[in-house]
Amino acid sequence: MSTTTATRASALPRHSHGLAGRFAATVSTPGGAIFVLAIALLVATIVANPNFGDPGVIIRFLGRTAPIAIAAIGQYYVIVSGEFDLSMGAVIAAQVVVAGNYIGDDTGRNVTGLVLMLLLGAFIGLLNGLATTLLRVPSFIVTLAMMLALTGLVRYLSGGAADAPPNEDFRQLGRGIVEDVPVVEVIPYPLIILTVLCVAATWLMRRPFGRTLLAVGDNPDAARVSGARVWWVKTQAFILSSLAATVAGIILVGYAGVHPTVGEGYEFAAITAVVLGGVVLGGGRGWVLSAVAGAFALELLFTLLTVLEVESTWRDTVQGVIIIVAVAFAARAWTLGRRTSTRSTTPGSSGPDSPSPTTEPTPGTHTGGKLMRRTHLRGVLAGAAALVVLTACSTDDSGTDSTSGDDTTSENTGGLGGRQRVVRPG
Amino acid sequence: MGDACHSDAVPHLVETPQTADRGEEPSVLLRARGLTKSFVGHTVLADIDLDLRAGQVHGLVGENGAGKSTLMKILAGVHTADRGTVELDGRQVSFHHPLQAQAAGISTVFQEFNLLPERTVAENIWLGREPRRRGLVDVGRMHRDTQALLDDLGVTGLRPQQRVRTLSVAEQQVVEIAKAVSYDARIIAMDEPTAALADHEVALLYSIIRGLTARGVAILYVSHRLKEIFDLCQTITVLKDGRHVATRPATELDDNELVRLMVGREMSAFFPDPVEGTSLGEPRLQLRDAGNGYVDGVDLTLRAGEIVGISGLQGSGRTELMEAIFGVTPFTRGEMLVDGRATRPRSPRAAVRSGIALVTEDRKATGLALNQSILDNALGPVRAVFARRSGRARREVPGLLTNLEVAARALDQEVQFLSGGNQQKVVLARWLATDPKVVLMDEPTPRHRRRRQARDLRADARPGQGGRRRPHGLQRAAGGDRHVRPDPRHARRTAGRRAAGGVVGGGGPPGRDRSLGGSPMSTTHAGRRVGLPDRFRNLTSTGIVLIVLVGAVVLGSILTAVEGRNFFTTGNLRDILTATSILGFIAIGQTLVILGGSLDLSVPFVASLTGVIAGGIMAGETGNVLPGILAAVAVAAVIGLVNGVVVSIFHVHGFIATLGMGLIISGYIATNYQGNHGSAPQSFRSIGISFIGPLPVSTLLMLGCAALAILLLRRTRVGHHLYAVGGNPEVARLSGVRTSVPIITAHVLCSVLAAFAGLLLLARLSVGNPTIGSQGQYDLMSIAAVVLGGTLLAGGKGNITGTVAGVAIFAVMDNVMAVMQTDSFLRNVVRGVVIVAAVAVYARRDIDRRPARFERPGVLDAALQEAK
Repeated sequence: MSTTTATRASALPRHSHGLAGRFAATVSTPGGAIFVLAIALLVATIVANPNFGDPGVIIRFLGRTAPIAIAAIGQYYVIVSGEFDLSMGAVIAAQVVVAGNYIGDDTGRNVTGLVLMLLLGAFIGLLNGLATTLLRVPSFIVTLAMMLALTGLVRYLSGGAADAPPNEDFRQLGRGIVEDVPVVEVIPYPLIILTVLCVAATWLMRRPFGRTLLAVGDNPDAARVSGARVWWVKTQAFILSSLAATVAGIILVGYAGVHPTVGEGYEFAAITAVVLGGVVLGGGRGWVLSAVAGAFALELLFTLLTVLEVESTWRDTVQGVIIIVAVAFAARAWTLGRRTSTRSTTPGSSGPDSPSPTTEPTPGTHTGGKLMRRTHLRGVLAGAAALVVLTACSTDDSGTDSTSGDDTTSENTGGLGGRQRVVRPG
Repeated sequence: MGDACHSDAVPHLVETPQTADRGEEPSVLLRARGLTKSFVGHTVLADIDLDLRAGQVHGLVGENGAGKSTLMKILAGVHTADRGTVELDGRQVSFHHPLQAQAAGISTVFQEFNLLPERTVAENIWLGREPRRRGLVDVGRMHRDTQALLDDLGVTGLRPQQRVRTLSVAEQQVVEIAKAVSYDARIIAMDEPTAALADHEVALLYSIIRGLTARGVAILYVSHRLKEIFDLCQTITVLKDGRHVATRPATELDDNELVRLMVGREMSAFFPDPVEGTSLGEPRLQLRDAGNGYVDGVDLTLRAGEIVGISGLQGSGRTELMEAIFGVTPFTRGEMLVDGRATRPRSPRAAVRSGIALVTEDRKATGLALNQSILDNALGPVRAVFARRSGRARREVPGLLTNLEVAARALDQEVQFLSGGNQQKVVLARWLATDPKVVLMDEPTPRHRRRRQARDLRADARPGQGGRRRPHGLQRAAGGDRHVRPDPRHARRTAGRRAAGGVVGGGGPPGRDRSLGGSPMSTTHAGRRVGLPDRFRNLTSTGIVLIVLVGAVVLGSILTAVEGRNFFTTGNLRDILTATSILGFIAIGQTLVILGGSLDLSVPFVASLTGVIAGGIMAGETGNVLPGILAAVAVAAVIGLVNGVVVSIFHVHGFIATLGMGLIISGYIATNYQGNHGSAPQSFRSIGISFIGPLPVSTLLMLGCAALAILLLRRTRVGHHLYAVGGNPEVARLSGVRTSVPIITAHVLCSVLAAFAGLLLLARLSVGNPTIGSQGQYDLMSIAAVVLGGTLLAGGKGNITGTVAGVAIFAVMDNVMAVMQTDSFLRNVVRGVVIVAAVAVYARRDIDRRPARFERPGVLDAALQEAK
């Protein structure tokens, strides 16, 4: 009992570790490890195909990945509040068709069209959110039904066929570039949009709304007793998700044209990215930028496979294995990585009154927290290194350096279509 | 210390054990010596001795945190003692799992119920030990045994077939006790069994306990209610701060002496003097004749700087009063004033806005977000309600936490790694951060913290906040300046040993006066909320699904008639039935998986893969049909096995595990099969197109599988356990169910059924199509059909009949829309609307049918009101 007096007198520090310690702790959690994985994949891709190391190529790659990353940001908000959004792909399709039909060749409609699309997106999100929170239908079902309904509607209205894309001005949002930039040559507009959204999303998660959203995903009852409007917080998350899908749709119109199948499979791709980023299904844990990193890691993986001349049909399989392994790893690693050893527990420790032995910190693992974290950190770094080395070896064997960065470009644009197989091939 | 219990234990009040009247010492069943247990370096039990004797009730008393629960959990095998021995009948035993303790004859009735609300009384009692005959669960015997058990306990009015969620709290308690007894327990430990019971319900418990002791069962009885302790127990052991204080025969003790032993001080010591300089100010909170369905006629005035205690037994309306003030169940009558202004908060949010704070009873369930940091938790209410003030609060809260002496490493530490006392401080800090005018505390303090907290409160009360707490234990009740007691009856009865000064009157909460009309028990359910008509509410979910199906048929036939066609032609009906078969197979499998709390998104790919594999093996030869089918089933079984193992053993969410598996298979198919593959021989194709009478063979096969699945769920242990694992894995585990077995079984069966669908598709198309499964969207459509059939997506509730009906509803809808020549794309819109509407209706019903213990309108209603 007397052991506690030492720690009491001084004010609580903001962080438990120093800068280096925090970095190590962050990297050893799934949400941080994804950044290491993404960098390792980037290095491996460059090793396998030195052309990819060109800043211009990388920047174009980032621009191409923007729609998935933006969708992942939207999906993050819904997942972290403990729900699902399966309607994302259908929202993208709907927006693309709206853009094609309403805006069309008329450049005068560009602004009104944009506003209309954003309003439509917000409205869909509102419907999803209200049906989930007020009607108490599980979000899986609500958004599934929304997906069915929207897809049906879009195909009915468009006749299931491709439409003429909107005017070139509007498409610039997706395919435009800022030219004559030093070092990287160009900056694609989508990358700028993504950067802005990343900053906004990070800011939002630090705002009261973001923190309340996390609390709602973690423990809705506690959040409600704290005075949070749980239904509205969750509904806002759904609105953000649909808005993110709308933005992704606007970008996709730029380089994929107008077809009701654009966006198919995006919901699962976004969920994969979010989960790969260590965000826990069920809510309450994970960082928004990890979801973005998850999207990049996924796309880099596909690029690497392409560079290594793995048949593109194996992509799905690799994606499947990765997602299962990542989640199995994350399930354990979150608690171990974030656990800080409480040197001094107070007299009234959690012992006698904590009812369930499962929620209680297991005695014994406490002191092991730091050790575990180190082990994890080592594992993450070793895995990353192994990935690079393996790629280098296999590249030497096959001696392939013929694939130029531009080839991967075209391959990868097709890759968006390739992921349509996530739900419905053909 | 332990010597005291060897002295003559003269039964008190109760004439029980056979041996008692002859003055003989009943034999010692259980002898514990020197039990010691510490958590994370903190000793919660030190050197405890305990003897339990056959046919005696042994009272275990002490304040919260004295170590009673820990001691019980050690005896029950939930915790293992660090030191010390337990002897049962003179043989030393050591338990590492509750099942071992149960097998040895020690059962425990824990405070929190370990029952599955969606299962029946009998299924709950025999979970993990279902009686079997020839491999199948003997439901008849299970019900007979349950009835015998209940008769034995003297309980009438409870039927073994009743679902637990329809029972009152007291009845659920009885089921818990019956379950404990069913293990042939010779020792039953009860942790505050009356905590949630009304007075007249306690009488039933008394008679059950007396019946048990008459049969020589030893009972360890933990309670805060001294009256019960003296009514029931022959021997009383007092614990304090994890140490043994005394063990004495009940006759040698009286109320005052027992209280003195428990708290270690005289009553007068419990009133800390107000902090100097505190003066009572203006009234901050006033209630005038306020009431709702749970409390009535409450008058209360709370002044700035004052701490008022509200005491009274559980069930007397304490919590309900708190919830009413806090807007969870708003007052419907009378006046409530905050700072002289009439306020009637209709939601917790509104209450927080008007300056009220509530420190809840269960900080883990409703107080904190455990995965978030200390800082985030401390800022929670400010951010949620006063977002504009969050910047300032962010600067102030660290100092507040430091003042409260929260022992932690840093502000970014997750609260789940804090000790209970420190968690409590964080809860307090988060409310103080909102600058509340009135603080409500519902059983705020665990163990030693309370004195300190009382001091903190004092300090905080000074600036002019009204403090207000609702303490539970004795000492804590004494911590306030004045006392309010919701129930005058208790006030009279306990006046001798409690600090006096009851102010508030008010009858027992009318909303809770349901269930046991004394004993014998009757199961009339009064006080249900008005809403849907009763008849509708009493329907089972399957009943509703069937009604919807009939409705769809009727509506369909009308619409078809409008089109000038007849819905009921053999051809049309055949079409509908045929259309159910493929989705039917998959949906049956999906039901099994969903019941277990998982999902299967890999089914369409399994169907495609098995189709091409079987088609390739058959290659048009009749002789190869059987090998083809076997290969398809084997492949599917392996896939299902992997799914099940990943879900249940590696704890990967079913959504992710099967999404990943689907992708893996999809990649494999895309690599190895381009275009159609193989072909089905004529003999095999006939399965897809032939009829027996008016019925398609494929549909008959599907219905056969449905019947087998129903048999599995109703008459096998795996089926029963599947419901249990889906409903509450923790309860299943405590009852000895190996939770991975039902999950893996369900996944294997689901994949095999998907293979059947794949084979049927092969028979219909006569070639194996590598994308046929995903074209049909069987993953999402099967889940939709299951949910449309009334099965809960979260698991634990639902059945096959509903699923088949759900599939049929889809088939009828499609058929009618095809007749009406609705655009095929628009059909999906209709489907989407129907699914959401149906599930919304089921969800609505589930709210109305909440289990009795949630019956008082709680958090859910608050959310609804917020929404309005």
